[in-house]
Amino acid sequence: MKAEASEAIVRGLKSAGVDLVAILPDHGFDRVQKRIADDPAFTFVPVSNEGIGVGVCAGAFFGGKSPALMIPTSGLLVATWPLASLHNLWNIPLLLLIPYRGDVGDAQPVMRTYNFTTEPILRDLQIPYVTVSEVSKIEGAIKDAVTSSFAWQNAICILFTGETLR
Amino acid sequence: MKRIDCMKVLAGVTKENDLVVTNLGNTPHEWMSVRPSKANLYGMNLGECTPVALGLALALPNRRVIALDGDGNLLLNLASLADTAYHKPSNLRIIVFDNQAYESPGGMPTATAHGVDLVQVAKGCGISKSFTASTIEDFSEKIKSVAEDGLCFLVAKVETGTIERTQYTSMDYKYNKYIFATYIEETEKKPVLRLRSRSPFTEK
Repeated sequence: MKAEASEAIVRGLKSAGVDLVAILPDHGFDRVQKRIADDPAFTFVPVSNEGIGVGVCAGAFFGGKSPALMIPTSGLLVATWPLASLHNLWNIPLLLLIPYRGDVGDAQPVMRTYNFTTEPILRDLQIPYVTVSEVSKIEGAIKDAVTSSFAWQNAICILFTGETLR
Repeated sequence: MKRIDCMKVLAGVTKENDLVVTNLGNTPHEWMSVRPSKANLYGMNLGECTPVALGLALALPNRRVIALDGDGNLLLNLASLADTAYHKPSNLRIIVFDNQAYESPGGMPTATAHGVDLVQVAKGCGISKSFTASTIEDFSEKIKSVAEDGLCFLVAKVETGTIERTQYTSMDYKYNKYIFATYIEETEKKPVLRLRSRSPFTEK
């Protein structure tokens, strides 16, 4: 992910009021994750698996934070259990940020599987999502997602692809 | 040692504004019977009790948060002890009622019935104040750590079995969500739910 895309994500998170970010390291997000880690505007919470990250974000929500979870595409598979048993069942807001590895254009053979899992899982979990492929659309997409997430009391996901990942 | 007796001791040292997060199964019913409160967040499913308590503790560093976890629940996300130790929230207390069984779905033994020592795991992760209590006298002594500053982890070795539930005892966790969130809004004077009455799509 280019520096301009990373900066757009940080601007979007701040303008949307996100103040806690739980992460698992991801190649697509490495630059922005380091950027967030160094920014005192965010409570930065690295976790050991995505399911823990989902739980941490739920707890942070109850503590008055506006949380975001940045996880790898593969990590969505790990996160499904608490996304179902906590967020879906209880209607808990969450901003879910995922680099869409496995989208058409990705040349890594090991990412192909996530083309078949990512969007169907989001739909099955009743997590509305938007796919953002242009850097200029990042900030607005984050702001819209957080607005709807709290208004609907529901997790919302943004999938990053195209020029945002290059 | 019975879990309900431990809870009665715990309730005696719990402050009115302490936030308590419980797992699923019998624990929320028992805790509700000894400490009914809007400050209780009931019913964290497998693997999510300690992570949710961790997130709550990080979000509200000036509030004491007590997780009432179970051996089976914690084992699903044992790495949550590593993450708790990583962040070391001084306002978090984790109490695990270890009955060595998945009691609710029939009683199959958990790994703690075969020698897994959760206290050693917690210590290995870096939670130095980690203790085991096997008798109610022991629990009463060790629970004093709850009142002290600092992260602590206490495993209470308890029997299986629970109190008799009222047939129609309601435990609607989504309803509890709104009770708990509203309680936090009132006591912390900050928004939690952030519900809106208007949409940016229609605002002028």
